[in-house]
Amino acid sequence: MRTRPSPALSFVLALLLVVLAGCASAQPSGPPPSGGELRIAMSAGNIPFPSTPPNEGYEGYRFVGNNIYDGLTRLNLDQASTLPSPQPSLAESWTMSKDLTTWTFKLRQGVKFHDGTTFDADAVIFQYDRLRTKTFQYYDTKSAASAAALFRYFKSWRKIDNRTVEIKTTKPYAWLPWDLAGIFYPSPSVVKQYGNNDYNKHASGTGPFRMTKYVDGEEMELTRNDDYWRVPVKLGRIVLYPQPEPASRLSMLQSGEVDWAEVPSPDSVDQLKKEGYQIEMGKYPHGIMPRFNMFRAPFKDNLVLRQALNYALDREGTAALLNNVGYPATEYVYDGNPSYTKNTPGYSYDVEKAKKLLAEAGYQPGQLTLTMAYPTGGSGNMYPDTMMQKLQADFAAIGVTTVLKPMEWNTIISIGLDGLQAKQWDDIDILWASPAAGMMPTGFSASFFCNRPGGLPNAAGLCDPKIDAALTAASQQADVASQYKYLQKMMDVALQNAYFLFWMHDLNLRVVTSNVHGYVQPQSWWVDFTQITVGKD
Amino acid sequence: MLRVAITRIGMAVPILFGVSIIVFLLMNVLPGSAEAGLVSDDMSAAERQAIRDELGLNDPMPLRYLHWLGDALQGDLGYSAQRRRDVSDLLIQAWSNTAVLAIVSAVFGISIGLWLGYLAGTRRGSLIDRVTGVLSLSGLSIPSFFLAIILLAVFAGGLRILPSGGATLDQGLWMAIRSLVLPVLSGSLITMAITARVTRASIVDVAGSDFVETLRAKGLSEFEVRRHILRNAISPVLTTSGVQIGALLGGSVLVETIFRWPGMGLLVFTAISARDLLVVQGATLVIAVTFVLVNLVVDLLQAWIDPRVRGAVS
Amino acid sequence: MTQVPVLLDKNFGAGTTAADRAEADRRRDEWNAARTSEQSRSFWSATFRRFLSNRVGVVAAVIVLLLVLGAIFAPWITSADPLLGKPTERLQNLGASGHLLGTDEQGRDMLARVLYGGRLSLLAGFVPTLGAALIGTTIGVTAGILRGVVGTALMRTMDMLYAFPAILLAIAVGASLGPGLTNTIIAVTIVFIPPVARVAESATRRVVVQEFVEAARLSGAGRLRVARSQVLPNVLNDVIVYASSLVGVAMIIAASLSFLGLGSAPPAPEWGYMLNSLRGMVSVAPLVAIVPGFFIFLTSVAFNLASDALREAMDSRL
Repeated sequence: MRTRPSPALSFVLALLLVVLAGCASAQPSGPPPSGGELRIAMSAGNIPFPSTPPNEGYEGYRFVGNNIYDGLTRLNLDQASTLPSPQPSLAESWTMSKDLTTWTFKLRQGVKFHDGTTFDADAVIFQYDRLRTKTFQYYDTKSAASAAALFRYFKSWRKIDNRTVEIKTTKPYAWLPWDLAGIFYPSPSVVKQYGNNDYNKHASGTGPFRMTKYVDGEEMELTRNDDYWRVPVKLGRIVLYPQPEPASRLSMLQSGEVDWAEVPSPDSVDQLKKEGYQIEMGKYPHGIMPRFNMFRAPFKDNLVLRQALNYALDREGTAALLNNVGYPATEYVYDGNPSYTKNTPGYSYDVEKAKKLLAEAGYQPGQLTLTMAYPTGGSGNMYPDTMMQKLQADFAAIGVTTVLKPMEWNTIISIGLDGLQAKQWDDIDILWASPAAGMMPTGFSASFFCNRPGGLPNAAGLCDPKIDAALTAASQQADVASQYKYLQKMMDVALQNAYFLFWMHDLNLRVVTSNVHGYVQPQSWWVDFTQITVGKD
Repeated sequence: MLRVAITRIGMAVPILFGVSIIVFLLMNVLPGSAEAGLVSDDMSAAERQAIRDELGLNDPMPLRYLHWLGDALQGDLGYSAQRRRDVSDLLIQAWSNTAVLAIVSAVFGISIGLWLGYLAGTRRGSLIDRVTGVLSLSGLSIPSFFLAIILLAVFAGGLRILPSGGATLDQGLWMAIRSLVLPVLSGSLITMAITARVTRASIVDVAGSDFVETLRAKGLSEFEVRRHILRNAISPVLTTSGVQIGALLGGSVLVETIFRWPGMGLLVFTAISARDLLVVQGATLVIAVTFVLVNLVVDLLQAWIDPRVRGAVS
Repeated sequence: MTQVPVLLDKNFGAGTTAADRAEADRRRDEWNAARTSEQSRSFWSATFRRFLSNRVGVVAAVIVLLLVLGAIFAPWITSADPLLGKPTERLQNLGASGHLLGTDEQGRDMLARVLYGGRLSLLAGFVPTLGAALIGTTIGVTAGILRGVVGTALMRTMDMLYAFPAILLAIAVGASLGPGLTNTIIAVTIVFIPPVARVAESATRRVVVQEFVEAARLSGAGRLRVARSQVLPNVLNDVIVYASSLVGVAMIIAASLSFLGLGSAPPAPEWGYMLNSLRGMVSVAPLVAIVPGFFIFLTSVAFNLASDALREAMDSRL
């Protein structure tokens, strides 16, 4: 076929092969180390930054932050029976003043950063200045912004000696150890050597894994830190892949590209179980608790309406739609969480009661139309699409029309920051919320306080002095039991006043291959990877 | 020839300006805030304004556009606070991934399309003509994401012989080919279909023209006649190929989303969702520039091949 | 170069294969008919007759018609509710009792969703095409007749939009307008205006240099009259042929936008959206999961075939 443009074609093919061969220059990572290699498909849209703190929400902590770094305290994630709470970590022990404003931490000796330098009080002060002191030479604006929440009650800090640090808080604050679990310490030498802008490429902490490869947008490799101070690390290597699509995470798992898939599509669970995968589920502090717009009608000052909608939700039906990877919520936190209250009954599915209350609220069937904003995706949101259509049907069954407003997750976050009284969002009656309900007592402040810690009003307009009093009191109790007594009281008020749509609790679905051993599913968003191994039995 | 080139390039410049303005306007109309990913609930209004100030979001729009344009012309496309990287850095990484996918898809699609179109055009009414017709019709009508889903289900989910996604381009030729197969198949089918159709139509057109009759009448062998047919038929194929290559280089959002291919399409789509304005602006500018350049090259090639076009252009 | 119309005898243009000869016959008949009879009315009836003689085109047109009718008369064809389903009946396979095409992940009847969804998809296919045809033709013809600065400015603006890959432009416009069918339609219309304008402009330029237009102008007719009586009919041929090939593409772009989450809001049964929401079920209920994709494919094929047949039927001497 001489007439075909064959010379041109062969040239292009040759060029193509050269291009591909060129791409083939780098070497793969080598054989799996002892303890195995755990490849993970995350639901995050990108690799979390190995910064302090990481981004991508709690998934960033789970896969990157807690592996590369340690905090002064840590949550005991190696057990499944109780809610993980602050334990000594880089701080061996601590004492607090009677008025809960002055804390003295005794730092652990002999801990080294991944680059070999020593962890000591100077490293702690360095990091606090780096995140809080604008005039500090190594102040990091970006990390400071994301860390602001953790430092909200810090007043001052000082080094007492090489292994002692003192922190003063702005008010009596019993929950400092919880905040400290999320504050990580990078190696000061590495920060000084590369500067803040390039630090992420060379991240170095004290944690059980060292970052050995980082390609933004594609993968991150974490290799065992053989000199880890706390426990011998069994797992050899972790490889992280970002994959925001549940269907794709499922394909990656089934095609053998990963050993661990976060939240695959719930319908695949039965088939995966049949194929021998380990289905991990368990109660943990995560719920879908949409917030009523309390700034105006119809929800402001209309308790019976809020209660009516709570009774209208067919939670069991929603759970069935999700193949039971979630379960009905009766109140804000799950039964088993220390903040759970047994004093006030929660909400259940009762259509007749819902209709009665709706009438009491002053609305005939067909009279009320609500607008609800929800995200189309985003990790930690369970399955908004499916759930919202069910909610729409449930409300329609009692005569309430729901207009669905799907938005990007980023936009929903903006709404949470701007607040529902902002002009561009004030048509929204109910705002989707997927809080880590009860993971840390510090997590309640944004949704429950009348004014957010930064000074801005509650984004949904919730303002109840009884809640404020209970939450504040809880944060000022020296002993843990009293703290939870007040938190339960707060939950009582929230329940009695139906401030939220108490909808679903999540069961933390993840699927791992049969090769993965030693995994303990804690009642937490975070995971302890040190005791996991991957390989044949 | 040089005049043609200069004229074309000259016309391209205002187009690119226009493109950058359109993109800028579009992005700034989006609801949701650009700083949402960087601020936390606990920040005061003042702190939030400070972040906005730093991102330059509080300046009036024309000013922001001019700032951005000025920097872009000097090669600085800005810094993405959300991804903590220079935008140009991000673009280079994404562009090279898309380029590999695009080049392979283009070569695959265009060469097969040319071959089938040629066969169909020179053997009108035959079986090969009909088969090509059916294939190109299917290629045009099947949405790429539908094809991708089916291919994934069969090869990655069912047979488990191919990966379900990801661009493993740095682990050896074999891994690269494995990760390219399904995305290339999904993305090149439409190129193949369009090329086959245009080639066939063009060949039929030329083959039926008076000029070819004249050649036959002059006594040229069938073989020689076919060569002339091809040379004259190539022009519209070039144009569409250029459009196809340009489109492929723009990155198919759908194929890249389904196969997790970290290219330009996926980058732009994620950036739009995350309101990462600088990335969107920089990426669309690069895509548009690529498209314009590719079309320019095609136009020049055409002018070179076909002297009649040269005259018409000026 | 002037050309005296010449009638051709039956040996002119005989080619080598039977298909070539048939084609030559057809063209010759065309040529002769055009030179000896009135053009407009018989052109369309001739086109229609030619279309009818194309079996494939007729079948395709019938399929299109069936889909349109199915969409319009959906409530009479099925009594199932496309928006509300019984969660206990989810993901039933094709042919399940009462559910010819199975049920989706919310337990909704797939046949109902496909039929009602057809309304959305067909709207998303036709309306942008019509809109772009109208607007694009106006722009293209204006640019082609006026030429000069105005013409160049118009076409350069079209080029600016044309410099984007279609799907990217649709996404950008769709994202800035927000979700919803109307916005999708607007986005796709904007995407199609430049190519239609280009086709119209190049057709206009080609027609404008031809003799009969020169003659009309010389006879004193104003530019607008020339445009209407001479240019427009000729340009419309090209535009109609081109636009008819766009309907399928419009549908696919709209479906792509819904697939990416930028189109109609749930629970609207838009085919692209359905394909996305059923994507995760491919391993569990594969046949149900591909139903929406299949219908997009079928509709697109039918439109493409019909538009091909239309083009062939309309293609006369030019």
